[in-house]
Amino acid sequence: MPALAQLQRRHGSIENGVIAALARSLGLPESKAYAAATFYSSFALAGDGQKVRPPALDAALESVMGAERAPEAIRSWGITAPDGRPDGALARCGAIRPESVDDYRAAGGYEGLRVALAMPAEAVVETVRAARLRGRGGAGFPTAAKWDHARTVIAPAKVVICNAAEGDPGAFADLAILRQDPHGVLEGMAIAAHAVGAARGIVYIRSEYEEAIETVRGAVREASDSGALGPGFTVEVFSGGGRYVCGDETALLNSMEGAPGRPRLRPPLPTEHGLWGRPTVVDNVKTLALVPLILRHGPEWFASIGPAATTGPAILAVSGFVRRPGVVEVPMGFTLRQVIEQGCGGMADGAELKAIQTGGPLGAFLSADAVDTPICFDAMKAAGSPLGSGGLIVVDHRTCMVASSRAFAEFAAAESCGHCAPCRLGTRQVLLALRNLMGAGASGADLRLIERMEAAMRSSSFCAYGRSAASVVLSAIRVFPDEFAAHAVERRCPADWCSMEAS
Amino acid sequence: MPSITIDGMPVAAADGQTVLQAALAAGFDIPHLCHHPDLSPGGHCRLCVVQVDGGPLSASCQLTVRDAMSIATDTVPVREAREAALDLILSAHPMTCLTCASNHACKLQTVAAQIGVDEARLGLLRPLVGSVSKDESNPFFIRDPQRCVLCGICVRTCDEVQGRGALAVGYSGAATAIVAGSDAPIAESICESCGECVDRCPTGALVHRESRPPTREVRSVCPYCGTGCSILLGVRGDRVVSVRGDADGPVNRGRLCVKGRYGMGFIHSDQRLTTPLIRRDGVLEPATWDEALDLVAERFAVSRGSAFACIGSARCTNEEVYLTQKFARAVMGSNNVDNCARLCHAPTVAGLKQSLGTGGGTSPIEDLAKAACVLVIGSNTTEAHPVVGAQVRHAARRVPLIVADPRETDLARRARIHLRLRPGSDVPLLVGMARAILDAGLEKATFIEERTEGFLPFVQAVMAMDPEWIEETTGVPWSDIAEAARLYAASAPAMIVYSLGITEHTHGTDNVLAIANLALLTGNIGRPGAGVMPMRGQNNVQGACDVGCVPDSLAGGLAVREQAGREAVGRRWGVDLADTPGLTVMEMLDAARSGSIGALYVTGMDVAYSAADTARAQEAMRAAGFVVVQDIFLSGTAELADVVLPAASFAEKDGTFTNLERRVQRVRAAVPPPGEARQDWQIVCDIARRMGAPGFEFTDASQIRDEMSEVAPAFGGIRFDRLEGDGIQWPCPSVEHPGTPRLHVDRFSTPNGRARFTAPAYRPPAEAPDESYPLVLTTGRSLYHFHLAMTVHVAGLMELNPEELVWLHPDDAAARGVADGDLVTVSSRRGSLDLRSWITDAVSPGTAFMTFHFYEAPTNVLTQAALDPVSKTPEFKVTAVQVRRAGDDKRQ
Ligand SMILES: Cc1cc2nc3c(=O)[nH]c(=O)nc-3n(C[C@H](O)[C@H](O)[C@H](O)COP(=O)(O)O)c2cc1C
Ligand code: SF4
Ligand code: SF4
Ligand code: SF4
Ligand code: SF4
Ligand code: FES
Repeated sequence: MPALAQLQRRHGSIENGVIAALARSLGLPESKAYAAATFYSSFALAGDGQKVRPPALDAALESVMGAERAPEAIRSWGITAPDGRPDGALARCGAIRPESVDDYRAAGGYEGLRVALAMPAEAVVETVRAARLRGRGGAGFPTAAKWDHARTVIAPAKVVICNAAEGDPGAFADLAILRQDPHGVLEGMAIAAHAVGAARGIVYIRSEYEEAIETVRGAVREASDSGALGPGFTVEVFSGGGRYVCGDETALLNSMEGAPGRPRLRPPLPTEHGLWGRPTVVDNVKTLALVPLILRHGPEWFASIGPAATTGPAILAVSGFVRRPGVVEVPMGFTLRQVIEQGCGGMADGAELKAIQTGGPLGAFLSADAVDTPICFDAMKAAGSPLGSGGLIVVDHRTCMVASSRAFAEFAAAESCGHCAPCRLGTRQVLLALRNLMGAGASGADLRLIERMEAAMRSSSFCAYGRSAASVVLSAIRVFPDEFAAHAVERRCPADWCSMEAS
Repeated sequence: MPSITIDGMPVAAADGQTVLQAALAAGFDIPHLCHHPDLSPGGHCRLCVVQVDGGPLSASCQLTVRDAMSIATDTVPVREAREAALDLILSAHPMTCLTCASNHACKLQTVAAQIGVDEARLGLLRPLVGSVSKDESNPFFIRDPQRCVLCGICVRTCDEVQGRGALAVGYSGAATAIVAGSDAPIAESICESCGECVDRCPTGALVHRESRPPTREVRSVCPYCGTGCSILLGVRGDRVVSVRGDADGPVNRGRLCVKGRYGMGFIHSDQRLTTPLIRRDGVLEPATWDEALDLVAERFAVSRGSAFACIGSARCTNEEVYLTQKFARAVMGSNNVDNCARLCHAPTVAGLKQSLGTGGGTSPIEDLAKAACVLVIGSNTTEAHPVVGAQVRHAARRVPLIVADPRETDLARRARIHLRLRPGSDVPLLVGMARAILDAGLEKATFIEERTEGFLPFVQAVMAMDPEWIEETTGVPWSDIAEAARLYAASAPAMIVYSLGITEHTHGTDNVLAIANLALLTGNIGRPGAGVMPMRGQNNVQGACDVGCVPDSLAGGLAVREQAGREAVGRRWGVDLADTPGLTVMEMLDAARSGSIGALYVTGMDVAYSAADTARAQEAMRAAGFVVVQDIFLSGTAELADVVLPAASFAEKDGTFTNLERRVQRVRAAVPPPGEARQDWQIVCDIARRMGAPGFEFTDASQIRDEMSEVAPAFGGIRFDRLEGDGIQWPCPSVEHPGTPRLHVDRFSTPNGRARFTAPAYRPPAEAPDESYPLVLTTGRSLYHFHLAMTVHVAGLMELNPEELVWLHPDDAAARGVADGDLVTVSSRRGSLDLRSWITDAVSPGTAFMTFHFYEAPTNVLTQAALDPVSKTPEFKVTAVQVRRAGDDKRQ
C-alpha cells in the first residue's frame, strides 16, 4: 500500500505493467497487488476506464442536502474542569500551535499521561472503566472492556491504532482534532499503550487528509524528540487508501497489510489477532482525545458529565441547512435542538427543519419531531437513528427525501467492498430502484423491493457495513411515507427536485 | 465434544467444527455455494444462514459450534434471507443453463432448487449480468466471468491448495471480479494450469474444455512423474474422456497437476503404434505379430549371454519390468539389464543403500506437513513433481524453507534462504553445512552415538575443508551456509527433498552420501516429519529398480553376487543365474559401439535421445547387431530399430506402479489397446514362449505379482487383492504386514543396523568452462512436459510450452549481443543446436539452462557421457557450452 501510494504520486496513475514489477519487488503475486490497487479509490488505473471507481460521493450529498464540511469552525461549551475553567477535547483548538509540544504542555497537556504512567496498567484500565467511556467511532463500545481484553492477551508485540479513516460524508470532527490539537490524540494513544502493554502506535489517516497527515507527523516528531510519549512507545503515521469500509477496524488492518480493505471475519477480535496477527487496539480519534481528560480530571468528573448511559463530552460535526455549520462539543445529554440552536445559530435563512440525518451512511433520518432527543448512544437509537460517530446533517423542508436517499444509496453501492452477495448486489438493486423512483417509471414495487433488500442485507451481510448500508434509505421511507408514495404512485416529487421524466 | 441441536434434533459435533460442517456430516443439507470442504470458509454467498438460539441469523459456514447451541435451519427469517440472497445472485447470472457446460453439475442450480425461485419475485430485481467476455486463453479450460458468482472458491483453491496465488478478488462493489495477474488473460499469468480451481468452481464460470461426462470411471495411477497421484479415468465407449483427481488418493488427495489432469490426450493419439513393424530394405514396414515374433525369437536365440542387452522401461508396470528382467536373465542368460534410472537416480540407490541400507526414500510424502523445516536441494519440485511441489509450498507458509539451486526456481523465491550455488559444487555446500552444524554444536550426539558409525573420520574430513575454500567453490557466502545449517539443525524434525540436481553428476553418489550425512548428523531419519526424500522421475522408476531391472541385483534388492539369494531365485525359475553384474545403460551403448552386442531389446525408453551425448547413443544403436524396440509411439529410438513392437499404454493394462515413497499402487485397464497393440508383459511372454522357454505361461498380471512376492521377501505381502485402498509401501514381508511408510525407525537396514557416515570427497565437475566454451549449461524439466514422447502428443501442453528455449542471464546475453527471443546457436564439445533464447535473471551469470523435451532441439546432443564412477550415471547437469547469435562466426 505505501508502495502503491508512492507510485501513484510519481506517475499520477498506475500503469498495468507497473503493477507486475511492483508485485515482484514486494514478493507478492501480481494478482494480489492488482486487487489491492483496484480496490482503493485513490488509485486510478490507466486504461479500461469502465472499472475505475467514482470518487466518494460527498459531492452528491452536497448538492442535495447542502452537507458541506466545515472543520475550521469549532465551538465547545458547557464543559468545565473541576477547577471551573472551560475544558473539553476541543478546548485547545485554535488556541495553540498544533504541532507544538510546548504549547500543548503549557495548556495542561501530557499531564494525563504522567498520571497514567505512575499507575499499573490495570489501574489505568479501571480508571477508564470508572469513567464509563464509550468509543466515539460509531459503535459506542466500552473502551475499558476493549483495552482489558488486549491487556490480558499474552503476546510480546501489541499495537495501538488511532482510527482516523473518517469516511462518513458529513463527518469532520476527527479532521478538526488532528489538524488543530494532534497532541491530545497522541497522549491518548500513549495512555492506551501503557494500559495494554503496546510499544507501537500507528495513526491511520485517510490519504485525502493530506494536511492533517503533515500536522500529525510534525507533532509525532516533536513529541518523540522531547520524550513526551513516555519510554518505549513510538508512533508512526499511515496514510490509508481512502475507502469508507477501511474505517471498519478489521478492514483497516487488512488495508495496512497491503491487501484490499475488506473486513475480516470476527472472531478472532483484533484485540487478540490484529495487525500481522498481533493483539491490536483500534480506537477512534475522538475517543483517544478524551482519554487524557479522564486521567487528568479523574473518572468521577468524566462520569458526571451527561446521562449515565453515555458519559463525557459529545463531539459532533454539524452540516446542512444550519446558519453556522461546524464542529461542536457539548456535554452528552444535550438535545439536538440545543446543538442546532445554540451551537450552530439555528436554521439557515429560509430553512425549516425537516429531518436530521445521523450516524453517517450506516445511520438514519430522524424527523423534525425528534429534535428534542438527547445526544446519547442509547436514547438516539431508541429514537430511530444511531449517534454513530457524531455527524449530524440538518435537512430542510425543501429537500427531497427520495433524492437524498438516492445520494446515500449511491454512496452505499459505490463503497460496498464486494465480498458478500447481499451487500454487493443489494446496494445496487436499492440504488436502481431509487433512481427509478425519481423518474417516469416509478412504482410501488420499487418500495417493496427496497424493503426486501434492506431486510436481507440487515439479516445476513458479512459485516456491519452491509447490515446497515440501506438503513438510511429505509428510515426515509418509514419517516416520510407520503413523500415516497407521491413519487411511486402519483409520479410526483413534492419538493420538485426529481425530474420524474423517462431517463 | 460439543453437542448441539439442529432443528430440535441432537447432533454430536467435533471441536472446532463449523455449524455447516456438523450439519452436513449429520445429514442436514443446508444450502451453500461458497463453502468447499477443502478450503477455509469464505462467507460470500450468505445462503447458508441459520438462526442461532432463536436470535439473529448467522452464516453457518463461518460459525464455530459451541456446546448447547440450538440451530434452526428453516425458519421464516432464514427462508426470507436465503430467498433474497439467491434472487440477488440470480439477478447477476445469465439464465442460459441449457447451453452452459456445467448444466446439471452446477451448484447454483442445486441451491436454487433447494431454496426455490419465484419468477414474479425475481422479476422485480434488475438484471445485473456483467458484460465481460470469456477468457479462452488457456488451452484446457475456459473462464466465463458472466457466470461467476464470486464465491471465491477458485481464489482460495489457488492460494490454499495449489499455493500459487494466481487469482485474486479485484475491484469492489458491483464491479468486483476475479482477476488473474493484472486482470489479463489467465494464460499470461503465473497460473500453472493445474485445473484445481476448475474442478472446484461451483458454476459454469470455470469449465474444462473437454468435459463430456463419462459413463464409467476407472481408478488408476498417473503415468507421468514418480509422485504417483491416484486418478479416475472417465470412459465413454472405448475412449478416455475425462480425468479426475482421486479424493481418496493417499498421495494427492484429489489434487493433480497439469499433466495428470490434462495430459492424457496421448492415449488416443493417431500416432500410436498399432501393428508390429519390421525393417525391410532399410524401411520399417507393417508386419503381422507372427512374422515379428518369429524374427525376434530367431535373432535373440543366437545372441544369448553377454551378447544380449536389455533396457527395461520405468514407464511399464512392476509386473512387466519384472518379467522383462526375468526374460533377460532366465531365457537369455544375461545380467545386462538396466533401466532409465541409470540416467537419473542410480546414485540415490547406490548412496542411500551404502549409508542407510535401503536405496529408497525414507518417508511418506505426507510427512512434509509434519516437518519443522524443509531443505530442497537440486530439485525444481514445482515443475518436476508438481503435486509434491504444492505441498512444499504449503509447508513454506508454515515453516522455514531452504532451497539450494543455481537457478531462481519457484521454490527459491518462496524460501527463507536461497543458496545459489555454482553448478556441481553440491558436496562443498553440504560439507559446509555439516561443518557449520558441528561448529555450533548442533549435532545430535545421542543419535550419532547409538545409531551410526564412522563419525570420527567423517568429522576429520569435514574439518579439512575450510570455510573460505567452500565459499569460493560454491559461490555462496559462508554466513548464508551457516544460517541455513543452523535453521536445518535447530528445527526438528527437518526433511530433505532432492532430485536430479544432486544425482546427474559425475559425483552423484558423493552428493547423495553428503545428504545422508547431513540427515544423520542431525538425527533427522526414522521419525515423522524427518527424512531424506529423493524425487524420482518416472512414474515407475522406483519400481523398475525394485523388481530387479538393474545389472547387479534381482527383485527386492538381492545382489546377484550373493549366492543364497541368487540360487533361491534360480531354483524358483528353474535355471542357473550368472553371478557377475551385467552392463549399465551407458556401458551397453559403449559395448554396442564396439560391436559386442548381438541383440538389444529396448522396452519403452527413448534411449537414443535420453542418454547423454545423442550422437554417440545413436551410433551405438546402429552398431548393435539386432535392435528390438517396444513402445507406444514410434520414438526416435524406435526409428533406429530392426523390429518395432506396438505396446499398450498404462490406460490399457493391469498392474502396479511404485511411487517415490515406495508405495505400490494398482494400475487398471480402462480401455482396450489400439489396433493390434499388446500389453508389454504379454509381448515378453510371447517372445519367451516362441523361444521355447518355460516360466512365461501367465494369463493375468496378478499371477506375475504372485510370483514376485514369492521370489522377493520385501514384496512377500504385496498381492493385488491387498492393493484396493491406499496401496502398500514396501518392505511388506507377509500378507499380514501393513507395509512400511517410514524406514529406519528402530534400526537401519544395514547388516549391523547402524547407519554409516561417509567421509566426503570432492571432485570438480568433469567439464569446466574455458575460453571456447565459457558457459555452464544445466538441464531440467518443464511443468508442461515429460521427457519426449508423451506430452508432445498433447496439443494443449504444446500450446503452453511449444519449443525449447535456452535461458541466458542478461549480462551474458548482452555480452553476446543476444536479445530476448533471438535465434542462437548453442554448442558444446560434442554438438550444436539452434534455438531461441529467453533472457532472465532466474539463471546466474555464467550459466545457461535448457529442458530436454523436444525432438527439434534434442538437448542431449550437447551433453557428455562422463559418468559417476559408482552408479555410472552421466553428468547431465554440467556441460560447458558456447552461445552465439545464430549465423555469427564461431570465433567472434
Ligand atoms: C463500515 C464501517 C466504517 C467505520 N468507519 C470508522 C471510521 O471512519 N472511524 C472510526 O473511528 N471508526 C469507524 N468504524 C468503527 C470501527 O470499526 C471501530 O469500531 C472503531 O474504530 C473503534 O473505536 P472506538 O471504540 O473508539 O469507537 C467503522 C465501522 C464500520 C463497520
Ligand atoms: S457487507 Fe459484505 S460486501 Fe458489504 S462491505 Fe461488508 S463484507 Fe463487503
Ligand atoms: S470463477 Fe467459479 S470458483 Fe471462481 S469465484 Fe467465480 S464461481 Fe466461484
Ligand atoms: S489452474 Fe491451478 S494455478 Fe491456475 S489459477 Fe487455477 S488453481 Fe491456480
Ligand atoms: S504430480 Fe506427477 S503423478 Fe501427480 S499428476 Fe502430476 S505428473 Fe502425475
Ligand atoms: S456457504 Fe456460507 S456464506 Fe456461502
